[in-house]
Parts: sequence; structure tokens; C-alpha cells
Amino acid sequence: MISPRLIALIVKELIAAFRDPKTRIAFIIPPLIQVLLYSSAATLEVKNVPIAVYNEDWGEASRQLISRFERASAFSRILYLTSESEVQSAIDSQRALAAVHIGQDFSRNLASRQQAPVQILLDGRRSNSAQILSGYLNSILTQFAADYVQGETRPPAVSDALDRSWYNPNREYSTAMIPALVGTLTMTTVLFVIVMSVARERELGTFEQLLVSPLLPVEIIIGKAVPGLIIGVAVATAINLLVTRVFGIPLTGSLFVLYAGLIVFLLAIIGIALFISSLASTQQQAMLGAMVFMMPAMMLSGFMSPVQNMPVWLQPLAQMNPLTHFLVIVRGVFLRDMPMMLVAQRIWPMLAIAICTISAATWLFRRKIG
Amino acid sequence: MSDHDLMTRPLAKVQGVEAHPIDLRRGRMRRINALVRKEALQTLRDPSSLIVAVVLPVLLLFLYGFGVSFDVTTVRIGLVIENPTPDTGRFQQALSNTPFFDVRVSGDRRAFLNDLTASRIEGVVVLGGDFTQRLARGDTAPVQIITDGSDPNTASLVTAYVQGAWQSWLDQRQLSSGAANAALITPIPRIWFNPELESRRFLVPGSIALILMMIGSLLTALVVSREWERGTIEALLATPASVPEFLIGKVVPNFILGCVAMAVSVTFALFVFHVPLRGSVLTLILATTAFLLVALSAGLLISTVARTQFLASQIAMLASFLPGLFFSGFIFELASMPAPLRAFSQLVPARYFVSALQTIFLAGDIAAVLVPDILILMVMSVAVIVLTARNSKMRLD
Repeated sequence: MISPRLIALIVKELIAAFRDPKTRIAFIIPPLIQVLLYSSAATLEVKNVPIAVYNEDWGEASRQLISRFERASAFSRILYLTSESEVQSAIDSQRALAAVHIGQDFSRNLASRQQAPVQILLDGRRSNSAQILSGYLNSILTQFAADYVQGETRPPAVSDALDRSWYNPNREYSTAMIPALVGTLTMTTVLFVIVMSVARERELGTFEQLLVSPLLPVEIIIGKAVPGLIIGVAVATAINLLVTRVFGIPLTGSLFVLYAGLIVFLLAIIGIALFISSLASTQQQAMLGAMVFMMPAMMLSGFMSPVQNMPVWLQPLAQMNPLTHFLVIVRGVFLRDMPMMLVAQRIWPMLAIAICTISAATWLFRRKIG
Repeated sequence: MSDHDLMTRPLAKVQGVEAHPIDLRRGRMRRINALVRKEALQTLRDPSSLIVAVVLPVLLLFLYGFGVSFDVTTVRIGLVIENPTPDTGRFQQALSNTPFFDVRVSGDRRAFLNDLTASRIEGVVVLGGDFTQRLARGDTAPVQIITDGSDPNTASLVTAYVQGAWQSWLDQRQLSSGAANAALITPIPRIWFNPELESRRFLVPGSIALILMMIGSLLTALVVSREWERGTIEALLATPASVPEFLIGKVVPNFILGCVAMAVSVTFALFVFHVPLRGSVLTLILATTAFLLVALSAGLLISTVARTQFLASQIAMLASFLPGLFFSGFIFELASMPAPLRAFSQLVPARYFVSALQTIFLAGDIAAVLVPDILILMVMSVAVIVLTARNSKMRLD
């Protein structure tokens, strides 16, 4: 049974959250900016990069090879170099991310069916892009070598490696990044709504009034939590629609599983927000507290790069972060059709975080009354 | 009185007495000295600026340095062997021999489906049931590499690693069978500046740029808005100090704090993250100075708009953090972005500092990169300072 005074409190909180026009803007503008940024700017893809070619060979084969580079869409332009020192300076000055060095004997070696080495020099200042670029260049070289001997009475290749990606076949960065916004944007919105609402009441002195009202501490907690939950579900639903309708990323898993994960995730975030607000007495402190939680939560969640790549001693910290678990669920349900059984493994830790933080916050609020 | 008048307002123009130019200059120096002293004392007295200069960089560098990494240190692979034979055994050997692979074997690819979905493995390699037969027949025996496309970067790296192991298995096989069927073209990759391919080596210098932008703008954004908030700006306005003098007074102590933050970050980068410093300290100082001027004056510009510390810190964080994260080339690939965003990135000061720092740390003093970077930063700092001086309304209304 929900008491009428609890409903009154929830209604009051919802009205308070949306009354301020500045807050209303804060609900709309930052999410829109982030959606724009993550859909278009968050990419590690390597394209439009300049490369350099230093060709010492005068034969036909090297010319054919270079024309393959020219046709490849990943390169913005090709710098033609004529000496070793130019290669050095092209890489140094970042005029080229990679330089391909074709030796003098390239065509001769190929013609006599001998191995023809090709040196690829890469700029390690961007080692991640360099590695990916190296992969592109390798496949061009391999394909060229295969085509070169085509039509001859040679036995077919012993083996070939077929490269396939599941869940996101074209390895689109936007497809991988955008669903994660269901987690990150919902988290920031709910966190700030709750933290600021409690702190504002503290500053205005209305929180004292709440405490002396007939409401129990538990009811105050629920009164603050339920609007957060409602806003969180609304924000997540809006982003869900944006992801599926505007960006056309289909939801492969079940919506029910996603929302089951979402509600437990929101409870954990609400618990953390209430915990922060039970410690902060001004809006400024509350904001600072929210930032201090948010920055590590974003960085240590696998949002930017996989949790697996973090040092081993940091992994437990990542496991204590509700966002880590929810991002696995969101990406899993959107892209990988994650079954309930696997989602459940990620729900338990978030539930534990929710229970710990909410009870700690209740205890701290109750102590204030005592 | 217009803003322009304020900027060029003759000093000590007291009751029609025309001051001598030398006196004017001396008066200006004296006032700047006094303002700088006042600001320095205020900064030292308030622990929050010291926290921003010392604790924040350590905290942020810790998060970026350890939290972001593109290095797939152990690749957990599910190897599906539908029909085990000595041939598949040799392939498995080739995978297991590679130090970064952690290989688990199964006879059925469905066994790894859940593992891939739950990110417990990074990829699945499938040797079909007819792998050995095809090899024996002289047919092409396919090796299927399945990766998790929902993490595109890891997927690309894992594919490349497995292909490397596959290539070495192939070479081994050619060698033992004595067939002259080896790959005709052998790419020999060489990575300069970062042969270990540690992503941390370029991420740490990049994050230093981002951190310094945040700290620089945060520090100065706070100091002017603090004067507004506390009402001490009235006392300052009543002094004969002009706008430029006032701004110099604000910038100098925070410049020193910014240098402290930079020193802390560089120490951390060198000794905790073991990033090499191949360029000279002098170049590092030069680039830092140019960038700090931009960051600090950006903070001043923000505080001319925002009159409360709270609002100022919010704007400073947002205005330095988001563009710094997305458009500095620190994590994301600028070249792959749409043209309008690429054009916008040209206006982000952090972009030039990221490029300069990556070069100074990893490559050395390369004039072709550093001279344009530092020049652009200097031009930007002048532009922002002029903009700030024009916008600073030294009036109470």
C-alpha cells in the first residue's frame, strides 16, 4: 500500500524537477550534444590518412602495386618520396602516417618468383591507428601477390584466413558507441536531478521542513528515488527510440531484458546519488560530489576502451562501477541478442551496489533527524 | 566610458596633472607588481587552488592513464576444431605459442557463443571439419576468424593478431614441406617512436594536454568570478588599475600554478607510466607556456561571462573537456570525422598541444611539427587575450 502522503511527495518532487527552465534546458541540450558527438566524432576508424611511398624499383610490378594504393579508399593522398631521408622526414613531420618502401629488386624478384620484401614504416606516436593501417597495407599486399600469380598453373593457396565480425559486421564505430548512451546519458541525468534536488532543499531550508513532517526517513528516500526512477526510464526510453528510429540500430535482444537491467541500474545510480546528497550540504558540494563520482565512473567503465585492457589491480574497481555492468547489458541486448541468463550475471552486482548505497543513505538521513 | 577608453585610460590622471611618461610606466609596473602579489597571496591562502593544481592532475592522469588503453594484452580465443587431427594440432600449437593468446579449445562453435556474447572471449577461430582433408587434397583450407564487432577496435586488432599467427603457421608448414609456395610479398612492418605499440605512450601525453586545458581554464575562471561573488571586485574597480593590469595580475600566479600542474603531470608520466621524453625540456617548456596562455586566458574569458564561481567552473569544465576529448586527436581519429567537425577541430587549442606533446615525448624536437603547433597556440593566446580585454566590463552594472 502506498500512502497518499508518499504520492503527494513524489508529485511534489516531479514538479520541482521540471519547474526551473534552466533545469529543463539541462535535460535537453547536453544529451543532444552528446548524441551528436558520439554518433559522428567518437571514432577510431582509420581513413583519410596520408601515406608515403618510396619506390626504388623501376619495374612494372611496383607501378601496379602503387596504383592499388592509389585506389584504396583509406588513404587521403599518397606522397611520392625519392630518398631514405625523405621517408624519415615525412614520418617525423606527420605528413604521412605510414611509409611503404619498395626495394630495388621488387619487380625482378616477383618475376623470378622469389620473395619480395616490402618495408612498412609506421608512426608510433599514433600506434593504434598505425597498427590498423598496417593491417590495411598487409591485406593490399597479400591480395596483390595473389593476383600477380593468378592464372598460372600453381596450386591453389594452402589456406586462407576469412575475417568475419559478428554483431556489427562492418565494425561501425557509431553502432558500437551510440547504444552506450542509454547508459551514460541516463546516468548523468538521474545523478544530477537527485543530487541537485536534495542539495537545493538543503540550501533553501525546505529539507528541514521535510524532516519535521510526518514523513518517515524511508518515505523521504522513496520520495526522492521514485521521481529519479521515472525520469531515468523516460530518458532511457527517449534514447532507445533515438537509437532505433533515427540511427537505425536494431534492438536484437528483448526489450524486457533491457528494462530489467535498466531499472536495477537506475536503483544503483539513485543509491549513489542519495549517498552523495546525504553528505553534501550545499549545491556546490553536491555538484562536486557528483563530478568526483562521474569522472571515474565514465573512465573505468569500458565506455572508451574495454575493461579487459585495464591493469589487473584496477579491474575490481571497474567491477564496483554500476556503469560497467550496464554497458555490457546495453551493448549485449542491442547488438548481441544477449540472453536473460547472461544479463542476470550483470544484474546481481548492480543490485548489491543499489542495496548498499540506499541503506547507507537511509542511515545517514535518519542520523540527521536523531 | 567605453571599454576602449578603459583599456587605454591614462593612469594617474589626477586633477589635470599630466604625468610624465616614465612615471606612467613606473606606476604601471608598481600596480602590476602589487596585483600579482595580492593574487599570489590569495592563491596561497586558499587551498582549493593548490588542490586543483596538484591533486586534480594526479587523479585525472591516473584515470586516463590506467582507464583508457587500446592494448589487447591477452587475447582470449575460442578455437573450434570440428575434427581433431595432427594438422589442427599444429595450428593450435601456432596459436598457443604466441604469448598474448589465451586459447581454449572445443569441438563445437556453439560452445563459445555465450562466451563471445558475454565478452569472456575476444574471438573465435574455426577450423572446419574438412580442414585436414582439404590440406591433404591440396585444396585451400579456410580458417575462419570471428570477432566481436561491437568493439570495432579490439575486433580489428584481434583479427590482425590471429592473421599473424596464421601466417607463421603457414610459413612453418611451407618450410617443413619444402614447397616454394611461400607468400611472394612479405611485409616487414617497423614502428618508429613506439615499437612496443603501447597505446599508453600516446594516450598519456594526450591526456596531459586535456588536463592542463581543464586546470588552466578552471583556475582563472574561478578567480575573477570569486571577486564578483565576494564583492571585492568593487574595491578593485576603485583602484587606478586598468583592465590589462587587472588581467595580468590574475594570470601570473595562475600561470605558475599551471606550471606546477604540468610539472606534476610530466613527473607522473615519466616515472609512473614510463613514457620516454625524447625532446628537450626547453621545447616542452616553450609549448607549455604557449598552451597555458591560451588555457588561462580562455578561463578569463569564461569568467567575464559567468559571475558566480559555480557557473564559471561548470562552463570551464564543459568548454575545455568536451572539445578536448573529442576534437584534440587524443583518443579519436580526426581524419575519420565528417568535414565540418574536422574544420571545427582546427579551432580547438588542445589539438595543437596534443600533437606537440606526443611529438616532444615520443619523437623528439621535430621542428616541422612543433613550430607550427607552437605558433598557432601563440596566435590563439593573443586572440583570446584581446577578446577578453575587450569583453571585460569593469563596471558594476
